[in-house]
This record gives sequence, C-alpha cells and structure tokens, in this order.
Amino acid sequence: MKKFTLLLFLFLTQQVLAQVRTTITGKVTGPDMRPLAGVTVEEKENKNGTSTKEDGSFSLAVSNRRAVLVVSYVGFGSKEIPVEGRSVVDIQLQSSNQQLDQVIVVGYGTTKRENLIGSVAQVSGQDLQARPVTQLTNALAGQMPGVSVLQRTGQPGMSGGIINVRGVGSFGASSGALVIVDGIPGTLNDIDPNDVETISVLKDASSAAIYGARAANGVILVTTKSGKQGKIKISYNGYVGFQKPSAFPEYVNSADYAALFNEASNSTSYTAQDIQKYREGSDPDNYSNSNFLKTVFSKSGMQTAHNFSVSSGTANTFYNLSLGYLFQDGLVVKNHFNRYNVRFNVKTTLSSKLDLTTRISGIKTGDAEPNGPTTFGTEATGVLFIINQAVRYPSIYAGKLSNGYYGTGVVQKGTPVSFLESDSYNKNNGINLNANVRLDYKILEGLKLSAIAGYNEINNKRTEFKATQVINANITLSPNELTKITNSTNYYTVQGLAEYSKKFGKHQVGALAGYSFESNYFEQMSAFRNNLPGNELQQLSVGAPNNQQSNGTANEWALESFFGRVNYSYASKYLLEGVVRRDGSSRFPSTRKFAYFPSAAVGYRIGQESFIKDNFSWINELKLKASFGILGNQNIPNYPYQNVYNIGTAYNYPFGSGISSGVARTTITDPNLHWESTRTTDVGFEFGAFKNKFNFSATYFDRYTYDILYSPGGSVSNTLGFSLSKQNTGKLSNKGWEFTLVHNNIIGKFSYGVNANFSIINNKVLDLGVGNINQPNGLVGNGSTLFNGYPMQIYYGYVADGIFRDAADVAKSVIQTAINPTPQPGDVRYKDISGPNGMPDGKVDATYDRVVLGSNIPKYTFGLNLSAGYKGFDVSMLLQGIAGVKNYMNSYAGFAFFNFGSIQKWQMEERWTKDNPRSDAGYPRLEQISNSGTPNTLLSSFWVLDGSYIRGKNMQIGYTLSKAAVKKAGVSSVRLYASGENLFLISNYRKGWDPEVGTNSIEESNSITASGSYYPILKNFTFGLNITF
Amino acid sequence: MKSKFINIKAFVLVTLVLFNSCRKDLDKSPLDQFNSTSFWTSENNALLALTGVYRGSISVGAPNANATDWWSYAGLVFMEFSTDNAYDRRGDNSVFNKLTNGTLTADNGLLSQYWTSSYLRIARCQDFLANIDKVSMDEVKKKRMIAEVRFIRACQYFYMSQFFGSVPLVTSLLTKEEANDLNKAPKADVVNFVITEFTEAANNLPRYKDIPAAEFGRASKQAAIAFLGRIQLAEGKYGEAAATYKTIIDFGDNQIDPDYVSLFTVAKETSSEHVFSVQYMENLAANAMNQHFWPAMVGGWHIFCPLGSIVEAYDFNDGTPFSYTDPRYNWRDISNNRDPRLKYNVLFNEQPFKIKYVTHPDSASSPDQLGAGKQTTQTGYGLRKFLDEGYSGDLSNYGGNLPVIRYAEVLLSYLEAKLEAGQTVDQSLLDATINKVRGRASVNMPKITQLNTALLRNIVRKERRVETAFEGIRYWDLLRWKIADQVLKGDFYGTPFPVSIKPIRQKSTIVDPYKRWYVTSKSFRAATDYQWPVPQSEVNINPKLK
Repeated sequence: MKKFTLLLFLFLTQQVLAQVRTTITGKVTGPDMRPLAGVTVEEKENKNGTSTKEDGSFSLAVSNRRAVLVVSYVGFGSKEIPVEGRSVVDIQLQSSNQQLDQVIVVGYGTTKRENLIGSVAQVSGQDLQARPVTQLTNALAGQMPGVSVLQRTGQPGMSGGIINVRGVGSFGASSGALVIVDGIPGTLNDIDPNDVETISVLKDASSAAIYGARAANGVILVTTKSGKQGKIKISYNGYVGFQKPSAFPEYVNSADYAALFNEASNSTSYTAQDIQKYREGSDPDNYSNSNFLKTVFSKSGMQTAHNFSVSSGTANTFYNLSLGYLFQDGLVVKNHFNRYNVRFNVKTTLSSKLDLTTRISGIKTGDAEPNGPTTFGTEATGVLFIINQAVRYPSIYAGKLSNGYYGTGVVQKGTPVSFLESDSYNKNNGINLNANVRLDYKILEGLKLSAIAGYNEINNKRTEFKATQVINANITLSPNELTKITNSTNYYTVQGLAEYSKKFGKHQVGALAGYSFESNYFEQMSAFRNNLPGNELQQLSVGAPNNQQSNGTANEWALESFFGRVNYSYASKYLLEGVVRRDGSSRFPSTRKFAYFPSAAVGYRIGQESFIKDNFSWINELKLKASFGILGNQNIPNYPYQNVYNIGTAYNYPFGSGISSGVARTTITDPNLHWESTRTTDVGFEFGAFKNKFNFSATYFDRYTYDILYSPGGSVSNTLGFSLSKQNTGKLSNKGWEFTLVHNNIIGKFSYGVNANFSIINNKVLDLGVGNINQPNGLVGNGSTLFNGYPMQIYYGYVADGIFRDAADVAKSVIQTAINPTPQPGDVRYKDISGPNGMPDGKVDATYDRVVLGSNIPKYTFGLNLSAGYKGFDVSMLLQGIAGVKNYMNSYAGFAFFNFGSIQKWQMEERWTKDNPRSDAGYPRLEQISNSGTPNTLLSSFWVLDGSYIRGKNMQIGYTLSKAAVKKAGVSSVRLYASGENLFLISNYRKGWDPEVGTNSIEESNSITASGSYYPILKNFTFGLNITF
Repeated sequence: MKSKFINIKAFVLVTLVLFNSCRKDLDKSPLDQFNSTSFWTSENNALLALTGVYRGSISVGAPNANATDWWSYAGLVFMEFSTDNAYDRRGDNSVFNKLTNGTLTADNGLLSQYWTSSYLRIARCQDFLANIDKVSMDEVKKKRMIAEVRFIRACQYFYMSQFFGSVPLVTSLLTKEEANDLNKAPKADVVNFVITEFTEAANNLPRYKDIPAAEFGRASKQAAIAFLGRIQLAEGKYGEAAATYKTIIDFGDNQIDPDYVSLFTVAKETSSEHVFSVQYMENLAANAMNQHFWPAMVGGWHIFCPLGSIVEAYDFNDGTPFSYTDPRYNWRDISNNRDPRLKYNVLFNEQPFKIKYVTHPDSASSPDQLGAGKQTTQTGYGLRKFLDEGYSGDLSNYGGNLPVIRYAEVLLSYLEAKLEAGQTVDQSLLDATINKVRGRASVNMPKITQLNTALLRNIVRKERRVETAFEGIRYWDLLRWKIADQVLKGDFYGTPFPVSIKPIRQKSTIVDPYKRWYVTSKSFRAATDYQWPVPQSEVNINPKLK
C-alpha cells in the first residue's frame, strides 16, 4: 500500500509538472565551446522549434517542463536533451560520429560505445541515405575498416558488392559474412537504404560469437527504422540521375584490324585494296567498320529512386511505414531493373510489461535483359553474353546490311546488333516477404523474456525466351525456345531469449540466454518447350509437343542453437564479457552435428583512471581491449556428407530409339565431416582527445581457421575418377591491422570532418591437408592454386623477362622449348628461376620455373571520408581503394585475336613488331590465339598486373534550406543535393578496364576464363531532394 | 496478481508450442538423389547405373569443342586435326594441331581432358563392379552387364595405352590418398590387362544379332572382339589379331552397307556395318556435330577443314593414283573421274550442300571465303561426311550416331593382320576384305589384285585412310605404323586455285606449282611425340607421374 501511495504521488507530480507551459532559454556551443548559430532546437513532442542566434542563444516556449529538446545541426546529427524541469538548458554539441554515448547495435541487443569491448564497426542510416546506390552493399564500400566491399559488376539488379570482413576466411566454404536483418538472417540485397537505422559489423570473436555457427567471417547487423516519439513525421527522399560506364576498352577500326590481322596471321588475307575499302567505308556491307561495344552500351541509363515514409509515436504505439521505389535503366537496351519496397515496423505496448514488435516488409524486384540467340547453346544467355560477344567481335563484321539482313558475325548466329534487335529476352520477377514478431515480457525488474518468430518467403519467376530470327536468306535461327523457372524459399525461425541486467552500486551485470531454431526449404521447377509458332505467343502450351522437358528439385536445411552471454563492468571502467554458443546443423552427420563456440573479452577504460583524468584532461577516452574466441562456418552445400547416386539428364543415354535414365556416383564424401572453425584473437585500443574532436583506434587481429571445409579437387589426382565433396582439410591464417582516424571540428559556421580507415590483411595458407604435395621446386601445395605459406587466390606462373627482340636474342636465351617449343622474335621470354639442383639450369619448364606471382586478395584497403558544412551547405567526398592486389588480364580482355576476337588500341600501340623490335614492348608479337592459348599466353607475370586503385566512390554537395524559409510552407526541413558515384578512378591497370571488376574470380583453376564477360561498373550523376514535413 | 500468472502461463505456453512444433530433426537427406547404401537392390537400379557408365562424360545438346570423352565427337573425329587428313579451323595454335606439329607440351589442354574423362569412366566402372554383386537378379543379365562394364573400362585403357603409353593401371576404387600416390604401370602391363579384359568380356556379351532393337547401342561380342583386334594389331600380335578378326567375319552378323553416304547420317545409323557406335538422339541426347561441321553459308562453324593431302590420296576412278599433271584433273571440280568416296567425304568450292559452297579467295561476299580471317575453311575444303542434307532443325540438336568401329575397318584390319603376320594372302582373301569395302554399290572401285607384300601394304594403308577418312582413327594408325614422323613433316596445302585475283597464300617465297593454298607446316618429333606426356596438372599433384 505504501508503495502504491508513493507511485500515486509520483504520478500526480508528473501530471502537475507536465501541465506547466514554460519558456526554456539556453546556449548551444560546439565541441570547442564556441557558440553555434543556426542550430535547430525543437520540442520533440510537437516539433515546435526555433534556431539559435549568432551568439548561440535560443529561447523556446515548450508545452511542459518534462519536454525533450531535439537539437540538430549539420555535421553534428541530432541530440535529444530532456529538460527535466530546468528553465536554462545549455547544450554542448559533439560531432555526430563519435559520440561516446552512441548506441551500438550488437548481437541480440545494444550497448553504449563506452562499454563496447569487441570490434564492431557501425554506420548510421544517415550516412547511407543520400547515396544513389542501387544496392545497399555498395554504400558500405570504404566506410568501415576491415570491411572490404568490391563491386565486380554494374549489371542492373546484380550489382551488389562482395563483402569480406577481415580478409577471405576460407578457401573451401563460402566466406561471406552472416547478415542479420532485425534479428533474422537475411541478405543485404534489395533493402531500401532509406529504411536503415544502423548497420553494424561484428568483426572479432567476442562480438560475433553469439552467432557462433555462422559468424566466423563476421556478422552484419541491419536495424531498420522504427517510429520515434512525437507527432506524425512525413519524409520524402528522391533522386534522379543518369549513368555511364566507368571504363570502356577501345578497339581498333576495321582498316587497322585488317592490316594487323595480316601481321598476326603472317598472310595477305586482306589486300591493300581491301584495307583501303575498309578505310573508305564506301561498301559497308562487305567492308564494315562496326563498333559493337559502342552499339551495346548505347544508352545513358536513367536511374531514379523515391522513398516516402510516415512515422509517429504515441503512448502505446510507435510505427514507421516506408514505401520505396527504384528504377535503374541499364546501359544496354532492354536491360533494366526495378524495385518496390514496403516496410512497416510497429511497436505496441500491450501492458506495462508486455511489448509487441511487429515488422513486416515486402520487396518486389523485376529485371529484364536481352538474351542471346537461339541455337547457340546455353552459354549464349543474357546481357553478359552479348557484352562478351561485343568485346570479342572485330570491327570488320557487319551489324546490319543495307538489304535489311544482319551480318552473320563470327559464328553465323548474327552479331550483338542482331542479338539486341531480336525478340529474345530474360525476365526475372521476385517477391520477398518477411514478417517477424517479437514479444517482450518484462517479468521482473531487470529480467526480460522474449519470444521471436520470423518467416520469410522468397518467390522468383524467371522466363527465358530465345526467339526465331532471320539472319539472312540462308540462315534462320530456329527453333525458338521458352523456359520458365519458378522457385521458392521458405524460411522460418523461432527464438526465445531471456535477458537480465542489474546494477549494484558500481557493478553492472548482464546476462543473456537464448535458443533458436531455423529451417529452410527451397524448391524449384522448370519447364521447357521449343518450336513455338512465331515469336508473339510466349506461353509453354504454345510450344511444340514433341520436345517438352521439365525439371524439378528441392533441398532443405535446419539449424538449432543454444547460446548465452554474461557481461560485467565495474564503474564503466573494467569490462568483462563471455559468450558461448552451441550449434547443430543439418549439414553434418548425426555424430558431428553439434559444436560449441566460446569466446571471452576484456576491456579496460584506462582513461577513466584518475592518474590519466587528472594529469591529461585533454584525453576523453582511452580504452584497451582484447578478445579471444572460436567461431564456426557451415557455408557449404546442403548435403555434403551423404553418399549418393546422382540422377539427371547428365547421366542419361539413348539405347535403341528411346532415352534411358541413368545414374552415377560422382563424388566421394567424408562421413566424418564437421564444422570449420576460426580462432580469433583481437587486441586494440580506442583513443579520444580534445573534447573528442580527435578519435583514433587501432586493432590487431589474428584469425586462424582450421578444419577448413574444402573440396580438394585441385589437390587430388584425377586418377581418382570422382570429385571430392567438402572435407575438413587445411589451415589458414588472416592477420592484420585496422586503423580509424576521425576528426571533426567546427570553426564558427564552418564545420568539417575527416573519417579515415585503413586495414592491412595478410592472408596465408598454412596447411592444405591432402593438398600438401612436395613440389620439386620446394613449394608445398597443389601445384597450381594453393601453396602453404602463400595467400589464397594466387596466380602461379612464369616470370616474364621481356620480349625476344630478334633472332640473336632467341639464340642466346635460356632454353624455352619445354613451354615454348619454337620461340620466335616477339615472343615472351620466360625466366629460368631454378632447376633440379636448386639453381637455374639453363632451361625453363613447368616444374622449376613457376613462382607465386601475387594474389587477387587486396592486402591494403582504405577509405577516406571528407565532409564539410557551412551554413546550409554541405559537401562530402568518399575515396575508397585497395592496394597490394594482382589481377589477371587474359582472354578477350588481355589477348588480341583471341578466339577470332578483336584487338584493342593499347595492344596495337604497344606490340612488338619486326620494324620496332623492342624487348620492353607492352604486348608480344601479334598472333592468332585459339581458345586454348599459345606459349605467349601462358600464365605469367606478363599478364598478371597490379590491380590497385583509388576510386572517387561518392562526391556530394547539398544545401539545406533555412528553417525559417520552409516553415511557412509547413515543411520542417528541405535538403537539395547533387551526388556522383564512381566519378574517377586512379590505377595502373590496362586502359579501358576497371581493376575493381577484375577478371573472373579464380577459385580452383587458373584456366583461361572468359574475362570479357563483364558489365562495367557504372558512374552516375544524380540530383536529389529530401523533404520532411 | 492473478493476471500476471496468466500472462506468464500464456507466454510460456505460446513459447513451448512454438518451439515444440518447430523442433524437427536436424537429419536431412537429399530429396532428389539416391542414397548409395540403399541403391543396389534391383535389376532396374543396376540398369540405371549401367546407363551412367555408357554415358561417361559425353556431352549432349550443345556444341562442345572439348574432348570430353574418347567417344564424344570432339574427342573422336577432331583427332583428325592432328593428322594429314584435316586441319583445325582454329589454326596452328589449336590443341589438336599442337599434338603433332612439333609443339606438344605437357600443358596441352587435351591431355588432361582425355586423362580425366578416362579415369572418370574407369571410376564409374569400378563402382559398378564393386557393387553389382549386392543385387539379386537374373545371373545371365548380371554377367552381361558386368561384361559391358569391363568392356567400357578396357576401352579406356586401350586408348590410354595407345596415346599415353604407360599410365597408372587402376582396377579398383581408390581413396584420395591412394590416387595421389600412384605409379605409372609399364605399357606392357596395361596392354595385357586390356587384352584379358576384352577377351573375357567378349565371352559374356551377346552377339550383335541377338541384341534387340530397343537395346541397340549396347556392347556386343563383336564390339569387344573388334577392340581386341585393334590392340593386338597395334602391339604387333598380328597372328592373334587375324584370328580375332576372323571370328567377327565368321559370325556373319555384320555386313558392308551398299550406301556409303547414308551410313554416316541418321538414316543408316543402325546399319549392321556399325559394329559399335556412340548413340545420340534428337532433343534428349543430341549432338552438335552439324553445328561444328556445317559450312558457314548454312550457319555452321566449319571447324573441319580437310587437307589437300587426303584429297590427293583418292585415286582416279580407274584405280590409278591421282596426279595434278594428269589430264583428268580439273581444278574446278576436283572430284571428276575420282574415287566417288572423295565426293562423299569432302566438300569443294562451287559444290552444293543445300546451297552453293564457295571458298574461292576472291569471293568477298561468301561466308566461306578462304583466307579472309573468317571463321570458316582454312584449306578451301569442307567436310561432307556426316553432313545430313535433309536436316533442317537446330544444328546443335542432331540425333545421328557417331561410328566408333565399322565392319569395313574390321575387314581391312583382318587383311592387314594376315599380311603383317606373313600368312597367305590370296585373291580370295582380297575379295573377302578390301574388295568388299571398295566394291560396295555406291563406291564400286576396281578390284585390288596386288599380292606383293610391300606394295599391298601401301594399298591397304591407303584404302584404310580413304575409307575411314575423318572418323578419328588416322592418328592412331600413324602412331602404330610408326610413320607419323615421316607423314606429319613438312608443308601442307589445301585447294588449288590456279585462277585468282587475290594472291594465293604461300609459304614465304615457295611458289606451289599447282597454286595450292598453303595451310601449315608440321614437324612431328620422332623422339617425343609418339607418346603423350602425362598432363602437367597431374604431375603438379603427383611428381612421380612425370
């Protein structure tokens, strides 16, 4: 009863206080205590606001003395300050990025930055919102140390970057980070950047261990926006812009091509008259000068995105509703991507102890692309094929003839011109529906139970149509064919959590226990018919009945986990944390399903000790931290240990007049397969000084991965006759440093910020298990792609020693015949590295003269974000880059006359010729190169190039209209901005090629890949508007 | 307080229901693959596995320029590119060309393709043989299946022994550790294994005539015996080879087909002349031979470019050797007065295949113009064998079978074996063998009557070359006759174009008297090229294999 009285009293006091209208005065200063003018000060409840005068002072009438003030200023974000009955409120603003009280999202909860021990990088939605990127991943490039984002393609709808957290953590299992969206595993793709509240990346063992099983390569936590206390807030953010390719290879014209072809084929295939006709262009049907790449990339693709959101928060209900739309036109005709997003987050207080949070989101995506011609086989698929052919086809081939027919191209199936004019297309439509509910029950003071259920359904429909097309009087591409593919993924999870947190004097204790079960089912069906009469009707039943084919498959996985975390801090000075997780996966045999993943971390905020506080008052923060833990990885196909007989069309064989079904065992599996594990050690410090104007942090990490889930196919002799499923074999190390430096300052009305991050990663294979083969040259490894002591994704080849100048040069050279049986002037000269006695033996061969030429994994990654603001203006620039990385320039990109391909200008200009026989020529003598290469195209340092670059990832200039001006229109803020993505690139790479696109990723082999298959990264220029009502 | 308990109860209840209903077993099994432990239970399943053995890694439905299997068309007929019969349109740097022109290296991609596909088939055979005993089924059928699998495995070692020579002789399932630690077996061991296997397989295989139409394509006794004859012939066991081939002839199940042209199209694909062939079927297991073989003017990729050498090997139709100086020679129609098989096998400038095939270097508007850097003939000649003029569908969707061993080869090999064994060769033997081949209705070349051993050897070898041209056995013949270093040496030419505006391609300053288009030069190295090196990729992993 006593208690009740007290409560009643407090309640009444509140009511009384609440009803007193009062005027608050105060002064706003920056971190340097100088007054700030033009700072917006609003009452949170009703958006009633004012801005500060020249001397930083303000005066605001608020509805009651328990009001909360929202203070915001460009470059400083916003800060909420409860009035708490005061009438004078002086406010000091800190820069927005490094506020000590910043809340960091961590696994299953949040923490204040000051209490954070693990290595967690976080970006706020604000930093991403204004970026005109189509995929959220690309907005993360260069933002966080240790988080490398490489965008390998600019293809609309597929342009998500590849994220690696602290290097590449496995050479077997996929090393992608685990993405958790609002507590549910998901993907970053297709999330509307406007919906993002924060993105956290958990990098070290202690912070990620709570997600043990899948956390070895980092965890990315995305939190979407929910409503905030206050009146209805309506925002619009939209932009429109256009895009261009960031790099574009240049090809020679047809006259030059003809002359160079004669040189390459050592013939007079083209007479002087022919070449003259090519140059004149008077007979374009027979003597064309096409530029297929230009034809293909003829568009300046438009890109536009719009987002509306409505949010509000009242006593019992907070909600945020967001609607987004994106349209991205490709650079190629018929190639575009669109996306609709809807997200509704609502939090309801059911009773004083029960909270219900419901999050529902839907994403609808659609993309379309031109398709390759029919009868060209399965590789002739999609826009990448068309680009690949445009890269390949020399200018002498006619696109369209004067009689309306098409040129037949290299392989009689037409050219990119006819491909684009055909009725062929591919279309994808996807729907991704996600719902999750969370019930929080505050059972006792400090103790909360939560039940979470999430469901995700992804449906995709794909239509592939290859049309009948008349190329000329004798060649009609026929029959047409239609394939329809549908698939669906059903995922659900249930989770239960118990959280406890309590403060006893200076002791803060927290505990978390949880359980989670996840299950996923995927199903796909496809149906095929061909010979549809005409190209107009495009449904299956229209096709001829005699060749109908259908296929279907399904797979499933499940994961069960128990986890717990305890943390303790004393006086916010000594911090301790321990986590353990037990995970069971359907991907491992019953005796090996479960494994424990423990971790521990300690932190010491030495800056809080009086001997520092008292002697170095300019130090705001100095924290030492260390963590250690073991994390797991199971990113492998679903049935890696079962011994099976495969069934499918690849095993059928026709006996008599019918087809017989066949099966085959193709793979050897490991019945004792178990988790891949990574042991991570992390030590570092954080330092803040001069009122946190400067913040610096450094972290050293050592990730040791063992029992790697690897298919050692490249390390086992083909005499085995089977491929190998995943085995636990091998050990790998990723060690490195991460640094961040943040500086924010304000001088009068001018504010600026520098945010730099830099990481060093040393990736090293330690042990290959079954692939540990002692090579005669002393290396231990599989002899082609992996060696102990070297990084992964290496290029293993010969060292080029220039070009043979002339016959005399050839004659005096070390013997090359083992790899180049008939060396000629103009050929690449390979270096004699070693021999059977460990010394150069005068001849070059595969056994002794290949070395590791470098790796495709960048050793250094860095990002630099510069920003400044003056009154309403703000500008920012984000630079991002990598260094210590090699790319392999081969195939159509690297070689002239490759597989009847064309020749680029740099190849023409830099080639060795008889008339200009330079031993330092940038390209060897011209020759016709078949798809299996020549002695000059062997994997060597001649083609393995420095892939380092610095890229202007984003530059932006914005203007925020003055509050006073927009207020009359009933608008609370308006910002206009112009933004450019990928504006410039500095690199040493070959002209016309973007090193970030690189060559195709190399996994198991260094064979010549079709690296002409690419979609250039897009530059774009956009103009945007952001309005909040 | 009561409501609080209800809350807790409700919460716990909901949670428990949720978790219990969801907590399923974490044991998941593949939904579309057979579990190996329960697979070997029925005859039907054994047949499924047998079918998988026959399929090997033959690719279907799409053009494949890689030798995915000895019996893929690219693995078999493309071998002609390594000989004096044909030139690979892809040029001097084509992997097939490099096998024999003096630039063979261990990283030639073909080596690992053949190597890998052989051991893949061998492993499939091994797996079948290790498990078939678990199946309770009709013993005769089981024996037949086992014999078929042993036949297919022996074929792999036959090819391996003939091209690589000494290779690891794997006869059981391996572990990965064992596979990485193999030694090469001496060639003689491999050969002996092959002979034993073919001999024993033949015992349990049904005769050609006893294989029902629905099973056409499965191995017959004759197929195993014909392969046995091949290895005996290659290893100089001529007496045994003669006896082996005799058994096929004595069975009388196989006949020379009167129609030479249709024999290589879908029309006559089940002719009894085909002792063994790779089976294809439109739509569901088609090949893309048409795509690769057809000339450019009708949409093909024209990969096959016959060389002048084979064209010149066909006699005049009276049986006298061809000569450019003979008055019967007409450059505008080189098939005039010639062995009709020339026209059946080779397409010439100005000859029709659906429409006119034009390769003359002056014909700028022709897709098949020679020497203009186009993806078409590099010799002026095109392939005519295998081309089905009646076909009009997708060129990658052809159902015609690919002959592996024809009865014509059996007859010629029998004669060769008798001849080389020093056994009696008389006119009746010639009439029963070479003259049957030459004398088929559509060929009708004059009878051979030469009985002098040395002269007849040349005749038999030439007959074999012109009869089986482009079927993929010339390379093997050149190796086993040990004449590759003479034959694959020097300059090779294509079509003669005595009249042209554009200069005819010539080798540096050498002017060809007949104005033939210069194609390439070869210099087969006798010391190294009779045997392929073990692929570099395999030596990388197991240096003992070098």
